[in-house]
Amino acid sequence: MFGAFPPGLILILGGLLLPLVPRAFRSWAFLAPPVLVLLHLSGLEHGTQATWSFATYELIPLHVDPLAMVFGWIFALVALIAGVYALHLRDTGQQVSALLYAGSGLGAVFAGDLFTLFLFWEIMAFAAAYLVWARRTRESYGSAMRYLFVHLFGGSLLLGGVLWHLSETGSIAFTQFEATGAAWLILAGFAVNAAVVPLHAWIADAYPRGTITGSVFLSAFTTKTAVYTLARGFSGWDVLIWAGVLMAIYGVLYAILVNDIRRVLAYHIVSQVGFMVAGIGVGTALALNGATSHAYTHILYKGLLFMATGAVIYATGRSRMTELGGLFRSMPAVFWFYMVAALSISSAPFFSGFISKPMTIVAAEYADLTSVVLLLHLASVGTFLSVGLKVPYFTWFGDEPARPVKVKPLPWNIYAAMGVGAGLNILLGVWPDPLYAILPAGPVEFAPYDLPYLKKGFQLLLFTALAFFFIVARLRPKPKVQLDTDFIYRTSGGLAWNWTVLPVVRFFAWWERFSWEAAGAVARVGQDPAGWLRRRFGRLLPTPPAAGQAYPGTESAALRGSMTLMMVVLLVTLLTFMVRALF
Amino acid sequence: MKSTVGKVVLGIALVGSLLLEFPARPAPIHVWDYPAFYALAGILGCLLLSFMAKGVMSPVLDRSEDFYGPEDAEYDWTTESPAAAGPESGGRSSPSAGSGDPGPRPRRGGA
Repeated sequence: MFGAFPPGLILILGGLLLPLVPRAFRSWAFLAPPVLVLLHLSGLEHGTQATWSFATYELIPLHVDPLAMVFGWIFALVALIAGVYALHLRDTGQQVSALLYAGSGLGAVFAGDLFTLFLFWEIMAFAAAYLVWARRTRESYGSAMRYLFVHLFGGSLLLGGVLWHLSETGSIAFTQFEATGAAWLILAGFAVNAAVVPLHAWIADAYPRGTITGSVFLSAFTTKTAVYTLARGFSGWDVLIWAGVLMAIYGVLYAILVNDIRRVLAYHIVSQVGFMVAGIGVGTALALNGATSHAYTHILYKGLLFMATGAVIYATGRSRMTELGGLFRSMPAVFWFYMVAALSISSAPFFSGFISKPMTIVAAEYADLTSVVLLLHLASVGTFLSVGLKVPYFTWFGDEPARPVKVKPLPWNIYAAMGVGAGLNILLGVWPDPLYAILPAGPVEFAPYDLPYLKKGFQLLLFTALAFFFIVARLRPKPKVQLDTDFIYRTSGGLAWNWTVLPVVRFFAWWERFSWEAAGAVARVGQDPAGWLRRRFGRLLPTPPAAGQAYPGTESAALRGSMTLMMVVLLVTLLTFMVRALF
Repeated sequence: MKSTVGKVVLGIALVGSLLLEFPARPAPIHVWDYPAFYALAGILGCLLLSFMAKGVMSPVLDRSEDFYGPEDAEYDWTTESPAAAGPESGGRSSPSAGSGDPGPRPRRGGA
């Protein structure tokens, strides 16, 4: 179907055509492009390539290989599920940008060269920022602008790296990089999108402020596209092992502190992507398969987590744990959907995370990275502690908040989307073979349901739960915000603005005002130059005589005649001199 | 987990997970090969992380909620719009410039 047409462009074209669909059908029409992409992907063969000529370069907008296909499948699938979740939405701007966002994510994944990748990378940043901005509050406006600035900064690093790489090697092909300066610059660009600490603060800033449906989309594409690019270009780079471990621990520590339920999830994206980044850093076949499969399951369970917390926010109008509590009686179904996702992210046996996260850790075990293994286990404990225990405890159980919660009914499509998400998470947990069959780094030499792994999974989670119930009172969230690295640009941003942008703005404002006033003055003078001269210098000129009268002192005809004669002689002399001088 | 049933279920599960140690195991090579390592890791990890976050990071990093400027007071999540702007008002509505704005920002919304 569609031959060698880039699947990302199907979503992007769909997004551009969507406003033409009558409003009543627009939400349903949203589902058509993802379905078309799924059909298209099922017909794409590995090795398929499309090339477009651009200037002197051969661009490769479609390059199909196993790694790209894994991400392609899950991107299209989650776009479809999130589309169902957004069926009640009547906001064309959000729907269009969601399709552009998903489409550019897919486009980046299937990009065979670095220019195409960069192009989709930038579209993705703008479309994602719109999904935050679409809430149209002062807070989300600022957050979206910061998101955009950070990602444009990352994009510039990427472009700088790509051009440098091009000048050194003469190639724009996107393959494994050697350790050159250009590669480090490209790595920094990817690291911004992968939310590598300390470049991660945009995620905790923007994702809790997106719209309810927007954040479901946001959770899926940006970081996982970056994981894909890291896996393609930087597998086996040792620096990624420690960057990943740092992310995994850093994310869970902040998640224990924060109060907003979607901010907990945002910090857990940092943590979970840390597992993937570490796996890519280890770089063995098992580790790459682990990182890729973890990205796949992560998109499924993180989408479900954002759907369930979005449902809570939709129904109650609140997002802070200090203002929530005791919702189990009014929202039991959402609780169970949430728990499926929470157990998946905690890699509990029989849920999706169990078939992917342990694979990454076991790969680190085989590589004899003892401290990495221990720290990743610690991060796993933290994941279950905050996503699996703390958030559900303080949202659905715990004390009821001082201000009573009114729970509004949810649209049916929200339940439907969560049901599909939960079903897929359980299905994948008990039947991982279809996913294992498409993993990029060869056959999977890992059986998650061997007894040692089951023992590990059960013991880690159950004893974490035991400890949690002893210290639960101390884990009560506080109505506070926590400083993170965005502190640097959120406080110095004003200074930078005052010193760099404001002087320029002020100069142009002054110039604009000056030009307008000058033009106005010239127009005023030009209307009646003699009148203007008279008004301006009237005191220096003789008062003009009345009509038919001569100037005072020129009444004598003889005087007038001689003056005229003198004038004529003067002019003729002048003319003669001019003619002589010229010829 | 206030109910007795919950406690009993958790207790049985805890014991059950420890019983999984009994089938034949190879001789320990790494620290995680010792019996009940993951049970201890669960408890100690939970305590360690909680202490790090609540005891060390929280006193240093906590700020009041309006540290970066006032929070949006009222927002209707159901229609996903602030009270003034309808959901289909497109990009035309500029965000209200609340008083006490923390940083300078462009005068016009990015329509």
